[in-house]
Amino acid sequence: MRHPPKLAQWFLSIASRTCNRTAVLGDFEEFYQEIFKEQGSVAAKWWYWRQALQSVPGFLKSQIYWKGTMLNNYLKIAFRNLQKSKFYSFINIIGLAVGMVVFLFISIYTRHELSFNKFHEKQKWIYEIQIGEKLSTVAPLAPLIQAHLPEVKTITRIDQSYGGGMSPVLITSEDGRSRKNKAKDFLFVDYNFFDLFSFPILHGNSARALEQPYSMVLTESMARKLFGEANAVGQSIHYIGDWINVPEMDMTVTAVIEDVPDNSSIRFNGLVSLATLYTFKPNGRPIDEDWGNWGYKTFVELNPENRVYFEEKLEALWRQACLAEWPEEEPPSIGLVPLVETPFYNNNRRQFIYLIQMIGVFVLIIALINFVNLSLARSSSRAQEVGIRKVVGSTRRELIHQFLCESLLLSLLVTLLSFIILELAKPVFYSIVQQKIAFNWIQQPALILPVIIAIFAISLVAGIYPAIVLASFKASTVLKGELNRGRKRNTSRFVMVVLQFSISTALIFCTLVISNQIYFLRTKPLGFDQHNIIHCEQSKQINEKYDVFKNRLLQNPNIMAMTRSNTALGQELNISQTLEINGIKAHFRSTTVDPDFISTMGIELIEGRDFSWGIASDEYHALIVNETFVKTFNLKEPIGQEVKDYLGWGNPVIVGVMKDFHYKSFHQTIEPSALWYANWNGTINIRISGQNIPQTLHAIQQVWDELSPNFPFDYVFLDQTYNDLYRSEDVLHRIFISFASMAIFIACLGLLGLISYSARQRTKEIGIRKVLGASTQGIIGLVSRQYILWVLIANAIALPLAALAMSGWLNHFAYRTTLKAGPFLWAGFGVLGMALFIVGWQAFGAALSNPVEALRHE
Amino acid sequence: MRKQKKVLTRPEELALLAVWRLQPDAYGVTIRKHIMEATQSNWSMGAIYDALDRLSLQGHLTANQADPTPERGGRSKRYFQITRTGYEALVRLKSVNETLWHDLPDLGFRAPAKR
Repeated sequence: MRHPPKLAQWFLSIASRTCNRTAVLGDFEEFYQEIFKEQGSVAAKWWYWRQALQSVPGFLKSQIYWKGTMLNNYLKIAFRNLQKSKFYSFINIIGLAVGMVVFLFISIYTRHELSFNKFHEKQKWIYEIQIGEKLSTVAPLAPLIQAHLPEVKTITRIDQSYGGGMSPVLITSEDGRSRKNKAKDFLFVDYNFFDLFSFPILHGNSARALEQPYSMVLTESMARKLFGEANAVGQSIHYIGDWINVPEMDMTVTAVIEDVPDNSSIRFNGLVSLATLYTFKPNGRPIDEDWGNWGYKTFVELNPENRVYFEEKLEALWRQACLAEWPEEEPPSIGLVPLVETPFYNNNRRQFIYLIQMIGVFVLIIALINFVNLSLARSSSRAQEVGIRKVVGSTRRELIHQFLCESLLLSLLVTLLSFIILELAKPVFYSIVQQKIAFNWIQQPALILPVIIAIFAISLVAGIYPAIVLASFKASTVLKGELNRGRKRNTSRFVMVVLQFSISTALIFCTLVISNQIYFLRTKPLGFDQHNIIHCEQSKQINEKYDVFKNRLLQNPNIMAMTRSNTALGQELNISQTLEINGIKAHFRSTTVDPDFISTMGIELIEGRDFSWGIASDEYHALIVNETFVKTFNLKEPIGQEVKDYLGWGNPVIVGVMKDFHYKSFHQTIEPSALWYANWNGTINIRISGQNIPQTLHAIQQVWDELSPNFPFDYVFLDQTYNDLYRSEDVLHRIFISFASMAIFIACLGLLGLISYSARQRTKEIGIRKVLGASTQGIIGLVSRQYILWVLIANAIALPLAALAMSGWLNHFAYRTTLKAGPFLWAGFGVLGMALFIVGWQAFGAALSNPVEALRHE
Repeated sequence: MRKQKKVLTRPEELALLAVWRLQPDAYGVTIRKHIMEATQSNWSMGAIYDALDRLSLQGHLTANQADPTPERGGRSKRYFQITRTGYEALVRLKSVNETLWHDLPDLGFRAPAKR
């Protein structure tokens, strides 16, 4: 006996009604057999298939029609339910929306933070060269690599010391009148800069823009600032560098490019051809022979497959070159860092981003748990509905559909709400992370689509568990009124509440530890007095007339002292050397200062003497070292100790020992370091008295403008410089404070809903207990005992884990607070207190209610 | 009750007549064959089922399952029987038809002349 094709049978069977499916299929099969006998198998199959396929359109139509009808009903019921219990709906929707807003914003923020440098077309092929784990190199490295390592396709340099981050004054002429513009962030770059980096060009020819000396490329906004709407290409600019080694120059604008995107780690407003530097010798040597200036960044284009091989060759080449240049020193290590990794190189930025992402996920989890929990709690009031639906003929699957439909409806509301909140709260978020992130929903459909999908997916995940639980109620028991409120459902609620409060406790704990550490960073003495000091880069004219400048300023009674140093404090001392004393070989750092430095800064001398203007031999030949230096080199009698000549001016002698002071952030330990006396320093530090600060600043400004008319007086307070070292910690702190409080808010909202619900469910029980003589306290205890226990368990889980995570974070600091009892107690009792408050409030209400009301209920 | 007073549609009428004629052997296959022979045109199964289902809904027909047979792939047949109301509907239909045909001019059983 032959049978019709299986697939076609299946089509027919789903298209026919369940009640007479077999009969219909039987009829079809009978016809099939008949045609088979008369006309053969092909015709029979053909006929059967045609029948099957013809059934499809009608089937689809009826499906859609009936599904639509049911959907309509589901939506109606869903809205009625939302309206019926406004309070719970409100908690549900607001909680989830706030959680989602936090999550969305954190995704946007971390997405931005992780997208650094990814806009370059060649991002995967660009590497930056690091030397001694620092992203700075010398200029001669590039020609060296070019000559010996053919694997490199392109190699380009960025000069950071003569142009990088420097602020020249640009003089443009307009209708014969010259106009002064103070500009910022100008870089000197190699001619092939645009071969490697993708900064879209607007006007001019990018390939040749940086070939000639004195050519300049401007960003769009810079060009507009200088030349308005006129075409900037071909215009000339008189350039006055703020670095004393750079002469005044006449430049020509060769191209205009788009503004540098926010997520570029190479930031500039203008580029000057490196060829310009070839026309003069900034350090007395041509830059390609200058091994002493570590202010260059070097980038190479390389096939990633060749990386390991190339690094080996580079290492060998570098060692050889170093030994030729500095025969007695161990060459520092050299290596490559992928361009996209550079923002995370040698810092804890990635941990920082992970921590923030963690908060986002946690807040979302809390909100989801709320959603699930409250839906479950409310489920018992829907039990009757489920029972009736089941009796009337709803299948389990249809019920699940119904409840998913409901959570989809909620999620739509939540989506809408969270977008509105996000839009409204944008400024708040910007101030939390202290930066503006360009995101525009309408302009970026690529961004909005995944977000919407994610929101829906999340809502479905949140809805599916309640849906399954609700759909699995047994019709008979439900309708008999014996809904099972047993242990099992309590367990899931237990798990969720504990999880929620564990996260809350952990977040509070982390926030407190971070606050502690930031307080520690802010208040730990630096080893000198960083308050009331301003520092600024000197201009060329000030350098020429420094003595006049100094004498005139010191006449002002509010200016206590001033000194010049090679580097501003708050960063690495700029000279790094290895030294061998007493058979101990170690690295140490130093910088040059003038004799007033130690007294102006308030650094404490513990042995020996300060530099003296009067002693001519101090210049270049005297050294003041810190305690760590003494300890590292194990100096028994540091004063008078001769140190091998490391700078080419003969052997210096240690004349003093100063107390350790923090010249950079608390992330790093104090290294052995030294100050020596030289008179060619570029940073001016002025100590002012704490009184009349605006007038004092104005007075300095006046003298400055008189002596150096071309350059604005651009100063920073030193304590501000130090505060800025902890910007990322600040952002983290702010994110933790704001988002952790939101998480706790959501968790409390959830607890509130849960408890008030359970109290209401037990109205009758409470009423009867009261009638029988239960006390108010007894009833409060009855309602709240369980929840308090849960919160305690949550604390016990959360605190050890959070402590573990935080000690990991603290380990990134060389100087850190210890984990004290404070945060543990505050976090634990804080959450407990909040839970107690909410539970107590609700329980109190339940306990005080009139039992008559309760018993009349229903 | 309005449904019962409703005049049957053509497929319904044919199906009801077919069941009446074929009883007790009236099920999907035989009914379709019968109608196809009578009308000399192809009827899809769906059209037949549709009519039968509607007749059942209106209470003109009842259906019951018979034992499965091998030539149907082991599936049972669904036999239809005419009910009292079905019978009445047929009677009414007949009288309607007769009234309508009664005083018509003679068709002459000729095709109209071609012009």
